[in-house]
Amino acid sequence: MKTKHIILVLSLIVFNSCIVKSLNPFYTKDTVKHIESLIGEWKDNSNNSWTIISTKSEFSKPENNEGKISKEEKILREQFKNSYFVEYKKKKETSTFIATPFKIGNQYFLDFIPFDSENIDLSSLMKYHIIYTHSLVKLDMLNDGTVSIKWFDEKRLEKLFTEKKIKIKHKKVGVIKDDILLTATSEELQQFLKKYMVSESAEKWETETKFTLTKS
Amino acid sequence: MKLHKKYNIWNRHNIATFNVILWLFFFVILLFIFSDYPIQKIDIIYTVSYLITLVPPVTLGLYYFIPKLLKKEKNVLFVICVLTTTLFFSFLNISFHNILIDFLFPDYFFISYLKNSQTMLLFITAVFLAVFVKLAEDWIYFNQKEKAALQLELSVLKNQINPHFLFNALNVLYSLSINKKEETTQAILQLSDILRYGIYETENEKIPLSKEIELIKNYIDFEKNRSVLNAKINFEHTTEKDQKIPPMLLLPLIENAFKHGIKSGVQNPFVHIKLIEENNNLSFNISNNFLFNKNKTPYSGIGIQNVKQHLEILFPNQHHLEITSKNEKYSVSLTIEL
Repeated sequence: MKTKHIILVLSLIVFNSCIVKSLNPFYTKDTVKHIESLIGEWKDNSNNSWTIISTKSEFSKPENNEGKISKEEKILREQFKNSYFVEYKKKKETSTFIATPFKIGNQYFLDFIPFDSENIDLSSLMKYHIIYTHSLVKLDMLNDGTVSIKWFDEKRLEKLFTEKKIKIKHKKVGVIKDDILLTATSEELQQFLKKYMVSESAEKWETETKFTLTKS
Repeated sequence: MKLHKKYNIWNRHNIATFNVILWLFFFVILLFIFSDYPIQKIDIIYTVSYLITLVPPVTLGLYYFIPKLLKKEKNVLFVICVLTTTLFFSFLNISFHNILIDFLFPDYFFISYLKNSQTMLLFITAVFLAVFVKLAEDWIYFNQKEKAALQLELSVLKNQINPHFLFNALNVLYSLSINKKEETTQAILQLSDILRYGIYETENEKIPLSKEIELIKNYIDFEKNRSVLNAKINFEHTTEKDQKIPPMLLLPLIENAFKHGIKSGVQNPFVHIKLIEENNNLSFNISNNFLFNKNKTPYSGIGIQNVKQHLEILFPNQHHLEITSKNEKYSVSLTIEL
């Protein structure tokens, strides 16, 4: 899976819902924790398939090491050495992401960024205009062997902004400036996450974008 | 005195007032730094809590290191101590401020404020700014205090002149009355005029030169009552603009000429007085002869000292006083830039 071509920089439009987007990753180097048991083929509750591959094993394949590896490719491989390629297939649509696992306290998270999407046909000129964003996924390994992934819903963050109880760097984007794009640093994002995790709101992880994955 | 009242009005060296103004200023500046407009409650909470963490280093700098080190001219040590203390408290802020504020306000998310390096820079700037403001305030205060002290000293000197003059005058009256001279009554009237002048005119900071000349004339007439018969006393005066001078500035010099000259028992005694006021300058010359007495040094009394101090306070670097004593002749030359 050569990555010479540009990483597709899209928010997770494939899920067609509002999730919190950030310009910077939600993880810092020291919090990244690779989870081996995530690797494999999974099915979600709608019977869509999820293929999770370790980036390290993918990068080490002989077909991905033919010829000279560019400097950009080397940096990318180093940056995502503990991440996964996540391939999501929904009917005929396939989307690929890079997901980086990290742990804060006792809670695992995944930082998602789009990697490629075969079903989105974009010209080069259009790609130049796209900025990739990170999204935050709460990851829970359940006792029955299933995995719960819940995207951090924008409504939760919006509520904090509406109540004027948060001060975090962000921009309002979109035509009517109604989408929140976090511009805070990764350290600040983690500071926010730490406090958010211990906040008392019962619905803090409620989201429309959630899946329960079962090994197939 | 009027000046005293003025200094009291401007005396604002009050720790509480100073601190209220200083911390209000810091509050506004920090709120400006921390806020995205419009200002929100979260920014006010953060600003106030941040301000509290600034209190210890600023207070130590202002009320411990300034008096203990800076005012003892240990400048380098002062800078080192203030800097070290400031960095220490900025480190405490970095380490504990967010933890404390998160604990106290669990519903608020204080995330994007200052980086660690910015906090350190802000602490250093705030502490040194406070020190600078305090030193400026101290400088203004002590400047006012010094003026007030000078004014007080001046009033004390004036108070010294009056009894001194009275003491000499009573001696004159005593000598007239003991000889049962007819001039005693006239002398009492003359003294009355002089004292009236002393009581009312010395209340003013300055009086017209013509009034001081009138005083000198009265005094000379008063002294003539007990002068030796062949004494030559003359007083020449020329004034251009009748400018103002401090009251009773010149009289002690004339008193001294009479006391140590004419009354010293010298043969053919004389006192020559010349006063010229022109081109914003006052020139006053007085000379007299005297009988040399090796056991007594004339011009060493309170009167001449008072004049010197008076001139230092009222005309610093604007006067020249020269006293010469040669061949049983005293000359005092005084010039003042008015």
